[in-house]
Parts: sequence; structure tokens; C-alpha cells
Amino acid sequence: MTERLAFYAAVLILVTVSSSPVRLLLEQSLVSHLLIQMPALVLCGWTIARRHRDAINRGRESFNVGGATGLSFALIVFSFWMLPRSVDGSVQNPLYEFAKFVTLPFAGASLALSWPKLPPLAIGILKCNLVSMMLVLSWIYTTSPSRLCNSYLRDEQDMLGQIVAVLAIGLGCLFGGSLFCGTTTIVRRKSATPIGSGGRE
Amino acid sequence: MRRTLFATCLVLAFGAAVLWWATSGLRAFTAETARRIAVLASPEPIPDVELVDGSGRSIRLSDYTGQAVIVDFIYTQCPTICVSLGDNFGRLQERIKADGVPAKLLSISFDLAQDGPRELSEYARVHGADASIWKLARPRNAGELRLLLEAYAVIVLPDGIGGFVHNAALHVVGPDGKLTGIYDLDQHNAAFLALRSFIK
Repeated sequence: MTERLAFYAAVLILVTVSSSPVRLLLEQSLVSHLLIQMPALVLCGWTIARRHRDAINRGRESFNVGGATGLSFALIVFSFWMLPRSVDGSVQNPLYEFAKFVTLPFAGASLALSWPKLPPLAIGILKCNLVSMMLVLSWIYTTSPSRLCNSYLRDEQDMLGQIVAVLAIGLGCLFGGSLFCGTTTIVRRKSATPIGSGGRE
Repeated sequence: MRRTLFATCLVLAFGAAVLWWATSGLRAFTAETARRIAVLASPEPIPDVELVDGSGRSIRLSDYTGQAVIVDFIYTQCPTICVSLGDNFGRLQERIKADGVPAKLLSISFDLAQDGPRELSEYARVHGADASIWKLARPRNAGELRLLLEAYAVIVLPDGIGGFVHNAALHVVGPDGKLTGIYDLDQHNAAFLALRSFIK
């Protein structure tokens, strides 16, 4: 039920952020462009694909064992849209803009299909990398002597850097905190017979 | 497993190619750098838009045919970066004079609302522009201004407090009227060397 509701909400949000007025509004500022529009596109893709993951996966499981293919695709798309050049391109060039509205939802979708299959180690690495990458980005945005995007003001670049730093620290605390008071479930063997107790009558 | 390996390799290879293309071979992470690399590799023709200088005379880029020109974009009320551009142009002017290089300087204002002939002349006076080398001018209308800004890839944004934010650079236009190099403000030495490179 919640999944169905989330699916319709995601479709609605995807249509809304793609509509011209909302698209232009969110692209007016670097902060809303990178921290609202782009994540919204990814999340919508994720939510839409999650509802139909069984149908999408059917017959294709062997191409995405351990989620490797889907994760690779998503990481490449994210790397591309992390480039200041691509952000500028999406504001200046309709082709880039179109590509953004297609690739980011697909990256979200491919992450949704792959995430449940990822080994725990990969998830840990991804979480660590996300936090450190956000801190590096924040450092670049706040300390760069010049504007990284010609289409945006310097103040917005500074503000983006500061917000990303706060988000990175928040996520770091969240991920780190879950190690101590998390919801990790210890998988027990199905036969709960204690070792050595088999012969006891 | 084998299928996944194949698909992952395919995605990674394609992705690497796309990222290589998107960064001009890992050299350009910003649009500005990409533009500079592209112009150096293949000079681009600049539209021959008519400009008007401080005394109302018409200036065209084609007037400079056979000479190299460094073009910059300014607005005279600019409190920061254009002052720095003016200082760098002043320094370039002195070097052009001292060296006798057949080259000129041209500052183009993009603030059509506020920069009239008087403002342009005042900017020239403040920065010591010698009209035989360094001219200041503005396009005649917004349409032609847009054409110029597009050709030089200069993006002008209102800063919300009456001024503008713009990517400031020294644009070297060769004797053939093609944009051949874009340099940072403090790279006036490199821009000057580019001017000299046109002397046969």
C-alpha cells in the first residue's frame, strides 16, 4: 500500500519537476538545482523502479548478479553530473538538459534494483565514499578562487559548499551512529540446536 | 556471473569513454576550461558586429584585420573585476607600446542601459587608455550584444544589487578575425606572448 502510494507520488513529482516553470525555478539557484532537482530525479527513478522490481528483474537477474552492473551505471551517471561543466551544460544546452532528465531517474532506478543485491561490504564502502566525496565537493566549492559554474553566482557556490558540508557531517553521524545503536540483525542458523546438545535425551 | 561481468565491463567502458569526453580527456572539469581548450585547439570566427565608441564612432572587428586584438568584456560601474581587467589592459598597453607589437586592445561594455559614450570615455580616462591602442565601445542593441556574448561564451548575470557577475578573461583574436586564445586576468603575460606569436 505504502509502496503504491510512493509510486504515484514519485510519478507526480517527476512530472512536476520536469514541467517548464518548476524546472526553471529550481535551476535559478545552484543550491536548488543540485540539492533539490537532481536528488528528486534520482529518488523518483528509485521509487518507480522499486515498485516494479520483480517484473523488471525477471529474466534479467543473470546480468546484474550482486548488483554490479546497475551500481556501475549509477555511479557513472552520478560522476558525470557532479562535474561543474555538466551542470553549466544543462542550463545552457537543451541536449544536456534532456540527458539529465533521462539519465538521473534511470540511475535512481538502476540503484533501486541493485541495492538489495549488494554485499554488505559494498554498502559500507559506498556510505563511507559518499560522506568523504561530499566533504571533498564542499571543500572544492567553498575554497575555489573562481566560480566553477559560469551560470551561477559565487555566493550560491559558497552556500552550496556549506550546506553539503552540513549534510555530509549529518550523514556521517547517521551512518556512524548506526554502528553502535543500529538495527543490524544477527542471522542465526535455522536449527537452533546448540552445538553438542544433539545426543542429549 | 559471466553475463554480469560482461555487462559491467561494457557499462564501465562506455562510462569511462563518456567521462573522458565530458572532461576533454580529464583536462576540463568546468565549462570555462573546456572552452579555453576548445578555442586553443581550433580557433573560432567571431561575428563582425558593429560597435560604437565613446565619441560615437563606429568600430568593427574587421577594422583590425591584419592585427591581433585582445578583447575583454566590462561594465563601467563594476567595482571589482572590471577594475582589475582595466589594470591588466593598462599593463598590456604599456607592453604593446614598449615592444612595438602591431596589436590593439578593445574593451566591450555589455551594460547597454548604463554605459553611454560619456561613461565609456570616463572609464578610458581613469584607466589611461591611449586611443591609438586601446578603444572602448559598446554594441548598438541587445540582439547584437547577445550575438557577441555567445561568440565569446561570456555569461552575464545580474548580481541582484544593480551590478553584474560575468566570467572575465582576456580574449585573443588573431589577425584573421578568429578567437585563438582565452586567458585568465592575471595571465596577461601569456596573452601578450600570444599577440607576439602572430608576428611573422
